[in-house]
Amino acid sequence: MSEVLAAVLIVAAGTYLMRLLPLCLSLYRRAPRAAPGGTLSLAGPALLASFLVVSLVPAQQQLAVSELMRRLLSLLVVLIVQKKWSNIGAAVLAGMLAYALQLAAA
Amino acid sequence: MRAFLAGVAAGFPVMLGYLPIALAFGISATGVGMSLLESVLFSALIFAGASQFALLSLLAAGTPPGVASTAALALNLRHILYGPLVAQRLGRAGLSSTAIIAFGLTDEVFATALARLERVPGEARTLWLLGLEAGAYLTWVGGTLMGAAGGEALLSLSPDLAPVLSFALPALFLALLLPLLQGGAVLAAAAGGGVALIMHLHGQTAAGILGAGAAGVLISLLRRWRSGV
Repeated sequence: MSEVLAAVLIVAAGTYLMRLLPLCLSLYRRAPRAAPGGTLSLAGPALLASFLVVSLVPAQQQLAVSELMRRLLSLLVVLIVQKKWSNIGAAVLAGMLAYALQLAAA
Repeated sequence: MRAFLAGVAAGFPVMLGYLPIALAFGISATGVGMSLLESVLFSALIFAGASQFALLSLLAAGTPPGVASTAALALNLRHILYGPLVAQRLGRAGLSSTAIIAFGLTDEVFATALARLERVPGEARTLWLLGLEAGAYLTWVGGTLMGAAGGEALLSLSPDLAPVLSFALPALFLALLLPLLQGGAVLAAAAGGGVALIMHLHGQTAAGILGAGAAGVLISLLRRWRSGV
């Protein structure tokens, strides 16, 4: 077995166990399951916000002001569409369209 | 079957966001000398973007496989947080379904499940989540295959295509976050976003996401303590 394949298998197995064990423990044991309004109730919004900033801001390179404005304006479109129609797919597509139009106009 | 297809449809924004990243991964993997099969195996077996890129770059730089694997796994520690939150919304699920669901719990699948699973009727949730994961997984593996087999030619059709598709992910995360922003969730989101941003800018993205989850738990505990629960 090549070293590359061994490394892939180790990461695959480890990642799977990190996803599987907490899910199984929560589903099949009564006590640790997170209850609505319980200890984990606000971890979800905090994690989603962290995904948002991490996907929005590049870690390794400086974000030009024009690009930052383009992304923020497009997110504003997402916000407006989501608030108005409560449709996640439409909001994402509208945001992408706004971003594409700004890129084309630049 | 209807619930499964609804899950696939709900995952459309995730698929849009995955495509350019998977293409980029396929291009990078063959670019550093991986075969087509090895490139696809990365995505088919690991199914976790950040750790795949980390593992690939470390192996390409000549890092011993044991060290490279450990570093890539450390990036995925945040996934430990996802199971309990998904379980809270999932209700009952068989062992085989649970085993498959766990494999597909990426950041984006988790985020979509977190925001939307509660609106799916209880008995349909397992199939809905499996549909969401199937669409995401096939896009990820298919995108990697396309990238490894000639993605550069595809992306060269339009220089704006990759950045526009990539913007699907922040747009998706915002659209998923907005309906949850009520009461203490606003403070939790601000704290989580702040912690993640600071750590991300210092090159500690995975730790930042874990820190964001910890901040959310801390705020939950403080609110329960203040309300005397």
